[in-house]
Amino acid sequence: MEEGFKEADVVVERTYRTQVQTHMPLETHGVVVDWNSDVMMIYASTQNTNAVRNEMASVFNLPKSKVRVVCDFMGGGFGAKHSAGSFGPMAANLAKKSGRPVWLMMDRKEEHHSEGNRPNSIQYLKIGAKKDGTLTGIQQRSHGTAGVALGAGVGRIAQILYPCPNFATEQYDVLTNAGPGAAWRAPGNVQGAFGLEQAIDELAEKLNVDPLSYRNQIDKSEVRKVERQRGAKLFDWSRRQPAGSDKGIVKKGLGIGQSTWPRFVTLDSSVEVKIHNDGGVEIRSGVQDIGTGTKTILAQVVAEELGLQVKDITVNIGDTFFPVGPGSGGSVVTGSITPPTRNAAFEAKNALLKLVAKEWKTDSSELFIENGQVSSKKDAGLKMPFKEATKLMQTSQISKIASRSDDYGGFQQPWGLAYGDLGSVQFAEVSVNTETGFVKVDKIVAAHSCGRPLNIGQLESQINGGVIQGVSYALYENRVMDKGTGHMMNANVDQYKVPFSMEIPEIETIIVEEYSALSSTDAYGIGEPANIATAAAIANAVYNAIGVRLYEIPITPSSILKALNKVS
Amino acid sequence: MNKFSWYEAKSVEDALEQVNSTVSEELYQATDKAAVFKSGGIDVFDWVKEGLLKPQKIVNIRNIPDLDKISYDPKKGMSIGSNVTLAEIASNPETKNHYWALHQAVNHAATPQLRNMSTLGGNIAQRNRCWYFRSADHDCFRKGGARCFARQSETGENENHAIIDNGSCVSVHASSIATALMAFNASVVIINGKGEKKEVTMDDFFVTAGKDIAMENILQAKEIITEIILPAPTKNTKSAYIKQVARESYDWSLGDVAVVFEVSGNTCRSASIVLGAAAPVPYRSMEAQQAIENKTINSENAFAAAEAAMKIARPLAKNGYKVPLFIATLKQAILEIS
Ligand SMILES: Cc1cc2nc3c(=O)[nH]c(=O)nc-3n(C[C@H](O)[C@H](O)[C@H](O)COP(=O)(O)OP(=O)(O)OC[C@H]3O[C@@H](n4cnc5c(N)ncnc54)[C@H](O)[C@@H]3O)c2cc1C
Repeated sequence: MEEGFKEADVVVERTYRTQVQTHMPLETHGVVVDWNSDVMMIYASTQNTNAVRNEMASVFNLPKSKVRVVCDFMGGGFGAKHSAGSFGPMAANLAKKSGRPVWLMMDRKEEHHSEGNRPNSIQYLKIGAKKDGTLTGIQQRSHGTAGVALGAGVGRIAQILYPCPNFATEQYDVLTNAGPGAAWRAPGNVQGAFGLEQAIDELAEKLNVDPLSYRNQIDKSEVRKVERQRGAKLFDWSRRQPAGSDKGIVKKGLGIGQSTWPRFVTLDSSVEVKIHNDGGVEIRSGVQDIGTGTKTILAQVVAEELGLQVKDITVNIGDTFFPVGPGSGGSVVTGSITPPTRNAAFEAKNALLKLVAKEWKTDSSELFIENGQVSSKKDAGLKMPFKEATKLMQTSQISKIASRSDDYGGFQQPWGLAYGDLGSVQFAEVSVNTETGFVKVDKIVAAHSCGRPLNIGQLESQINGGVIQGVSYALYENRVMDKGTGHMMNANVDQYKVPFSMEIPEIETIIVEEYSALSSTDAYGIGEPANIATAAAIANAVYNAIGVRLYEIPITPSSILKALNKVS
Repeated sequence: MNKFSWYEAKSVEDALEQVNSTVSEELYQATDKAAVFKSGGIDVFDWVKEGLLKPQKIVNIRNIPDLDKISYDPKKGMSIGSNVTLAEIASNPETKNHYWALHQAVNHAATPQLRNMSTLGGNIAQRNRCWYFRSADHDCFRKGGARCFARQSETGENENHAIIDNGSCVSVHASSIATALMAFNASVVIINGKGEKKEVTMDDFFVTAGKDIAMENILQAKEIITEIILPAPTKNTKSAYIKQVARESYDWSLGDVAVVFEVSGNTCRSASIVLGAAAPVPYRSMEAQQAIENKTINSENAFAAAEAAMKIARPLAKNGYKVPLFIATLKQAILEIS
């Protein structure tokens, strides 16, 4: 490490601070448990039906077959809803005792206090570079508190975003008597990016190069290179002026922030595809749709494989009586569940085509389905509607189950099951009122990649959501805790601030397709990547506007006016 | 939330018969035997839901006939019944034409949904904003407790709190509409249990924390607001209102100002300047008024008046930003008049 800094001509050494952000989904944590029959029935607001089932089976010493978890729709989950919590067993015990279904949902205060938060961070960062910009050393030391839980690190972003020969990190968890931390949309990385991406900007300024050009030099990712190019064009990066040079009372500023997220997969991801003898097609899996549109893309994949329309496919998911699905965390769902879905559909299709081949006295490899018709590659005259074909079945259904199972594609890394990176680059335009201290985010251009995009509308929705949460993190959210009494003072939806319609900037998305051909869909998630770079890009834009850097979020009128030396 | 009985008041007399306390009195004494007024119910039920107010009876005055009238007369001015909703004031053309600052204040208060529910009487009688005052976990002076948590120098979370007159309590008045009403020299009509009627100016309606920590206004048990009266403007009356909030969509004021001037040409002949969210009650800045009266309305004089207003500010550890915020906002509001 020391060697690295000895070689350095310029060094940036700073401490960055990020706040505690408490989970505030519209639907709080909770369950309804009905334990009147042999099977414990749990209706859960969860990101992980499978984990809740396993936890409850283990707590009550039941076989997994006697616990059923159902989650048809979710009122929001951003990382904190992966477990049965303490409320699950409580409700189950009460259901047993009372012989009645028990409804147990957190109220808003309980949700803020006890159901998870993004831990804070105090990050020391030292980065050295040679005159020509070559990075020589990155040293990181962070402290954070996840209250009575663990997980206050700042992720791997400083380690992997820009390759550097000398890297060291120490990340400390400080235990306090406060509500527990939990996963939250790209845990650790959002905090880490806030520090790193500001430090890189500052380094670029010391080296006297444009921060975007500097990233072109030190960032080895091909996908981010394309994202920077396309983003800079759409955003018109060329209009960026030197920091603090805008004249008026309200100053404009432009900034950039980058991030990476691995392509995680969960191998224990299974799906059943059924073709019924009346032409109906059904998908079944334990995987839940937490509002991201998983149901829609599963139908799309099967429809594509079977040559049908999306409306022809019925999706029954979010039920542990079906094959085990992945949890909605790590942005794994799309990458884990769509390949087996296609594979199951493929097998079901082949079984059906075999029946048609028998009828037509030909080989099934010559047959295909398109626009709802079974056809032959050899004989254009042969046609049979899909529905007719299903009548050839001797049983009432064809059922095929497929799993992601073995690690094709080589996702296994020494530190986890992930492959490559989902690169993101975001651009922020802000206005800062130098008299009142108010910051308005005017625009975000968000360039992202997630392999093969399956549904553009849903992807853009996820990116919009990630950006809005990033704006929220940069400017609004903050757990205010009275140090004297240990109480959270703003445990409600009014004083715990999140952006509403007027605070949401114009958001333009760029989706860069990047194929790696490592699965039958080549698709990956976007939920978390969309959230990582925003706060850093905003902080860099604020600096560009006023010429004074803020090392702490949320950025508020108070912090701006202090930075401008207007508060005595 | 505790159980309480509900009484549907049929008339002002009927309501005064039923009521035996005020929200302020009950929050201070916690007898759990109170019968209190509820109009729109927004503020009353916030206290009930927090478990701080446990009324025995809610006297619903929302449906009393004739308290929901709004009228304007060029000579007498405007009368707004206590049950008129904020939404009704917001869409009233006379308010917009003759009381611009009030129109602005109402339109920037709370949210459209809340404005549909909230009444003007309830709005000016709502209790103060301070997250310690409004928390069941913190027994502060205003609730009869022994401490001001917000003031504690090491631990107080006082970023939203008062910078003026904050000696005994650092909360801020919640009504951003009162800022504009006071600037227009509005008055409040109150009827008591004996049927006596009095009219007090906004300046006299509010009670500073130094005078009585238990309340922010003069209302006693068995007193009801029936209307709010705004004097008629002259053709030389001009006004402006600006509210600073963390979020534009809706938020509580971090600092709001209402300015009502009598002008001749571009000169201010007489000034009425009120600051909201600066002190525990809406604060009339005599200093700013004096600084701008008989002066040309220009950038320099506006700034001087704004600075004069902040001379007496004594910010706490975390709300120093409010001083430059008020200076910028008041300057801007004065300039909007020119
Ligand atoms: C999220 C949120 C944001 C808000 N933002 C703002 C804002 O920006 N600006 C602002 O000004 N306000 C704001 N408010 C406050 C809101 O406007 C008030 O709570 C509301 O106006 C109260 O009116 P009400 O009719 O519901 O009163 P109630 O809750 O019914 O009554 C309030 C108090 O007045 C008493 N009372 C009511 N009517 C009379 C009467 N005729 N005579 C005597 N006493 C009476 C009651 O006993 C009670 O003590 C906000 C509220 C919320 C929840």
